[in-house]
Amino acid sequence: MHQDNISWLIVAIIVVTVIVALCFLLIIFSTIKLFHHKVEHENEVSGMKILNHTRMLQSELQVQEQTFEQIAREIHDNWGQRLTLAKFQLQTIISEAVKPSLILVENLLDELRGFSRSLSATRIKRIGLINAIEEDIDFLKSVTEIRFSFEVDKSLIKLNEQIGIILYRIFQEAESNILKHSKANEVEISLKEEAPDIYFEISDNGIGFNTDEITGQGIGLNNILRRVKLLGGDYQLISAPGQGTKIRIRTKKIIYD
Amino acid sequence: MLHIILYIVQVLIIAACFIYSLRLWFKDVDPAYMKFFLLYPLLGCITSVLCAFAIFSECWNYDVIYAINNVSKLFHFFILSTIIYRIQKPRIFSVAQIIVIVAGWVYFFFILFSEGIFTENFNSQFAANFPLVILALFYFRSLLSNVSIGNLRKDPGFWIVVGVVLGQGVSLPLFATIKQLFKIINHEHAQLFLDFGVISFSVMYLSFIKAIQCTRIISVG
Repeated sequence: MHQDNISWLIVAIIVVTVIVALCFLLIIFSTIKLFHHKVEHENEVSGMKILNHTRMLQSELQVQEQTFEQIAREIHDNWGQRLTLAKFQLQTIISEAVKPSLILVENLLDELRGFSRSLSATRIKRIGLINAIEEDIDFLKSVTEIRFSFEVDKSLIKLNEQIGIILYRIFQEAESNILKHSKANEVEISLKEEAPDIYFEISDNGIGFNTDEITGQGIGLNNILRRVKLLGGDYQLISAPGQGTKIRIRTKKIIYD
Repeated sequence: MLHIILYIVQVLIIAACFIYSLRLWFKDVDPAYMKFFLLYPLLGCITSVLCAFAIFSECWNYDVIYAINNVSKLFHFFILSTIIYRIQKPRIFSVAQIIVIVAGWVYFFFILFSEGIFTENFNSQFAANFPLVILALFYFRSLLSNVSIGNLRKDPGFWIVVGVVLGQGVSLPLFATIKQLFKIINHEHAQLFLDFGVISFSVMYLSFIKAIQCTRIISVG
């Protein structure tokens, strides 16, 4: 082959190699760029989905709270008034025969007040989460054999109102589950701060259950889960037959809308 | 002289890659396919040691070195094609990829046996590299359909494919023409082109080191 042709061939091979190298580099960098663009887009979309979901949950729970508030007011203003009236009327009758009815009405009135109080978010807003839980514990101690202990970090006394209401509702769900199913005689509740998170833990020494066997998580547990989602926190349910149950919630101390 | 320096650098990089991969050998790793990939630095190391032994001891002739190289290309193609196929999620054009792999094998064996195992077989290098580069392009396409990898720069699979593209893809035109070049230009000049192949091979191993670095060891308990 002629020397000139050989030189041209060598140059051609070098040029082709350089072009191929550039093409591959272009493919690599443009793929990286497109990939990151797509990841950003996907994150944006999933962020919006989470935001929408949170908003839906928020409004759902708002409606629920309003309904609770209305029922609480109705009990207090209407049924409560009528029962008080009935109590006064019974008191005016001086007879031993009406005494049991009077006691019955008084008890019913107390229970209705307690029920109305537990439904009302205004009470939690007014007295705060910690006092509300302590009041409930005092009440439960008086009507059940269960021993309660409540550990709380003092720094959480001025907890965000919204978080307070949601955690209180979670506590109520857990409390209801314990009373209905657990057969526990000891319940430990703790509310601790490990900045920037707060940990809310409710554990009992009851019969426990196999967590794999709960279908659809049960309404109570589902309610807890929905509320935890609203807080943007996470939830852990630890239980096994004969080993009690522990609900552990971790959430941020501040809610961002 | 340049050739020897580049060859030594390449061997050192392969050795470094192999030594670095030892930390993963008897552990559970994430992603799991890296366990299989660890055979590649081992293969590179065995090939380098055998070739170095053959060259410096002078007890084997060059035919044996060529044979070692040709057999190692076979494993090279097998390991890398399996890895690139496995790391794709989702596997797009799966049938097309299998056809590429099978056709690659057929072509590779045809070249290997028609030209002979005991010869300096550049075409078999091209036959092994070309399907790998096609598979690598499939991988890049599949990346755009899958965003489950959070950070691409920390994904071992990505670095393996980048290594294949930079190491094997860039030298494709060279291996396609080197046999003809050896016929028409003198050996020393043609050797310069081969040196470029050595550099690109070293770049591939550097990328593999990065892939090994990105692999996580799963701690038990």
